[in-house]
Amino acid sequence: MMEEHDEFALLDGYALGTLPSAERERVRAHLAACGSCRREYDELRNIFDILPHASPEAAPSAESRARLLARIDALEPPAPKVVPLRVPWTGLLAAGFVLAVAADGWFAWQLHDRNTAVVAVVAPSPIAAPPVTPAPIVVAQPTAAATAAPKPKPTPALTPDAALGRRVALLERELADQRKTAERSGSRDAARIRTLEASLARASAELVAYRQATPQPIALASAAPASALVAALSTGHVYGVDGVVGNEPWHLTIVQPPNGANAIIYSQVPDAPSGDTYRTWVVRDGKTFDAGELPAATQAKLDMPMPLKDGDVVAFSREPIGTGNRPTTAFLMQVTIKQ
Amino acid sequence: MSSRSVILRAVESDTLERREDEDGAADRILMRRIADGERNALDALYARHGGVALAFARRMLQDEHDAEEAVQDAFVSVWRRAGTFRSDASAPRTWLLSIVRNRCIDTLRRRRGDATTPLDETQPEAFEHELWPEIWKRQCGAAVRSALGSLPPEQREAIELGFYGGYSHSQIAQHLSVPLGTLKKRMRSGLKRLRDVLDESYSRSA
Repeated sequence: MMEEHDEFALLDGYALGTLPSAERERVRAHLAACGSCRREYDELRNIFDILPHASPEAAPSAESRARLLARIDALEPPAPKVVPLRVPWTGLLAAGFVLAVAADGWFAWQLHDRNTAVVAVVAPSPIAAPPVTPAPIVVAQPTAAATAAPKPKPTPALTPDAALGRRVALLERELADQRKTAERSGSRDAARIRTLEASLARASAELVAYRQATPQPIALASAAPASALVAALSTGHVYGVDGVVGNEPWHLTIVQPPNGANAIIYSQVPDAPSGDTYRTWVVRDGKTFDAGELPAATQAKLDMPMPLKDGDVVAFSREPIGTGNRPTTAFLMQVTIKQ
Repeated sequence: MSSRSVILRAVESDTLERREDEDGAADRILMRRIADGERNALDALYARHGGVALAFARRMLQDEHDAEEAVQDAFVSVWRRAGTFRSDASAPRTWLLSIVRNRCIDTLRRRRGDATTPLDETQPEAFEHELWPEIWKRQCGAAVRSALGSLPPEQREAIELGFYGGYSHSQIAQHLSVPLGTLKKRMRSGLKRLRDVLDESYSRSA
């Protein structure tokens, strides 16, 4: 029962912003770990979010507006953004597609549940120590991406894949919750459920239509089916890794679904040279785990034997067919998982 | 309901959702431009949301001059902090109104000589469970007033002192001369009831 948590009683004070700082931190930490309290907190915040609208809207005077602008003119320009690695993922998709090919190296991006992208760390592994020197790896930075491709125009929120995907996932979750509530309490929410069903149908149709209409940006992530991306976008993580091995392009999408399920790799990689295979490894806490053969095909899927955790390194090497469960050649590439 | 009215409602709802998305997208673009130091973008944000901000501040402060000052201060904060705004965490309007509320509480505390807990200035996080569409929130003034009016007086008073008055729970309990536990239950029951009443209003309008 959620009421058993001491923090439950503090949630409205937390949402109102009036808790003492020690209690505030305690609730913040608790919310990160407790789904039922997070839901209760969200409900409270929804109500507090609506209360500012209780008064009929006023009309600020022209004098107020002029005074505000005069105050702004007297100030320095605002400080620049302080989070340079966070850029809209649609911009990265557009810019990164060019960069991955042009740089003849590796470009990686990470999607997480807030629909923004962080450049995943792609670097030589300090721990796996395979016998041959790793191939040089280019670490892509958003600034480099911006110079490698025309600056993307500001994109309306509705059209990007991630925004639509997140909307579909949220509607699905809300609908499931409403159905559960309706089962318990009768038909009070029947109208709400119908509205949600209609919204979900529209959002899903829009997502499909968008993906059909925009083949190029999606090509980067097309190794993974839409449903897997949508599911992972809600609470999981998606990592896109693109680059060149030899002269062949590789496209990988690593999906870490929510709820601790095993990770999945959707791959578009060429066949390994005759007699060899591409093998996947997870390096965790200094130990290397065999995560299976990376299938070579235009649309292939590898179910990994474990969920991925923050700090894991996913690596790939070319191995002679039939070798054991340790890498025997240099890693062709590796991605550090940041969650 | 006839099939024609079902279709019409679907079309209306679709239009509302598009307006909502366009509305939110316009605000996010303005925030990016403000972060780049574009004064005109702040002016546009003020034109879009200065009205609701002022009405909210008036309700909290019950004083025209103080309300206007609080709104001005809030927009100056937006100008200064636009670079830290995270569009993935909340809508620009939600963020702006949270800043307006904090500036109003600052004023209320100064008036009361109350130097209690510093306010939480972190940007509100995105809703995992959004109860009502953003576009409805902008049109729901009458529904919110009616919902507040439908609450038992003791619940309404607790919520108004907490939200519009910026008092902590223990201050409200002291003010109303009730035990803290009673106040907490009263506040939570009132909020639940408010949610149910607003939900019914929304369902009727959807």
